[in-house]
Amino acid sequence: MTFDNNLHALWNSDKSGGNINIPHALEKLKSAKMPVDKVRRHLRYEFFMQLAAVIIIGFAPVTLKFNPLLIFPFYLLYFIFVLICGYFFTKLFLFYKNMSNTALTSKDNLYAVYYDIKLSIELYKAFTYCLVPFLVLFIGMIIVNEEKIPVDALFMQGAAISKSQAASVLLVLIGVILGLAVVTELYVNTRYGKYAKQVKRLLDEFREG
Amino acid sequence: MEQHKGIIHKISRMYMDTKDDQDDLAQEIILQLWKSYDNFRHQSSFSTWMYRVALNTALVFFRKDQQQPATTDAVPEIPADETSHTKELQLAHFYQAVQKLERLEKAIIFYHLENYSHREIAENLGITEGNARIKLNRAKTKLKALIQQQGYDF
Repeated sequence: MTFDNNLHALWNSDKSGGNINIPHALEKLKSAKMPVDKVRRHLRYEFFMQLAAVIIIGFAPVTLKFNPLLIFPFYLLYFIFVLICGYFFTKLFLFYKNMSNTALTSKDNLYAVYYDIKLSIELYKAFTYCLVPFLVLFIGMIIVNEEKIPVDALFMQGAAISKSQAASVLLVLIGVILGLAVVTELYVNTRYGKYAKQVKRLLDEFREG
Repeated sequence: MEQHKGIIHKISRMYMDTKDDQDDLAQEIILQLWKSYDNFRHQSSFSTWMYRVALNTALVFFRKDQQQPATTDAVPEIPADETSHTKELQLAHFYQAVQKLERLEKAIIFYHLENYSHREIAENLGITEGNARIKLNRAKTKLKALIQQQGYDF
């Protein structure tokens, strides 16, 4: 018990807090190390990169002098593509504006943090996966255009494609998608997974016993 | 907030071992307090609310690089010539030992030192009272052992 009393006495004797200065321009303070903020800031940055890519893709028909037959299907796809991007964009930016209530009990707060990190990560993954089929189609169109393959012939001969040809196209596609999936999972896990893990470890400390 | 800034300092010193990190954490706590002031609805006392926000911030405050804290086992170098310095030495030993506790244990020790009862600790952390009691006792024993390991006793 003396240890306890001494500790209390010592604690109360610590008056060294006077050198903390509270800045007056609080608005200018930037949160630096809160895990949710960190994850979200990185995600936003990447999101802007992807947005830039989306815009560049939008100019592909002009810069690559697309076959007029390809332009309509291209922009039809592009429109859906932009809609999907818009959905994730609003999710990441607007949905999160008014979150974080740090006055919850510590455990609830940690669960909220954990949930937010996980949700952000999953949102990001879902976004990436949504883009894959579009990118495959866009690249396909660009190849058709660049190789000067007649578009009408493409449709005519589509019926005449052999089973082995179809199978090889399918295999290549599956390979590409699987490869992208593995890269995405690995990337997200190494880059953002650590924050989720840290918070998970903390939550485990709260367990009974 | 001015009159409670000693608390911010103490929490920062419990959670971070280098001066730079402590300053960063103190800044972050001030920012979080400011941001969540809207949530303070006077249903609890100001200090209770403030402790919660500050500790919740400290709990998830991770340093930039993910290396383990380079806690040295060397006794902090503080000239122990006068009696006023014994207090400093004791404090240095205390904070050094606290660095080696788990994050939750630090929070429990903090509440305990602020004279919170088991029930109040439990309420603020969101755990059961029994769990708080067990964890507090464990943390105290651990802390005592750590201080003794440093070749000190009080």
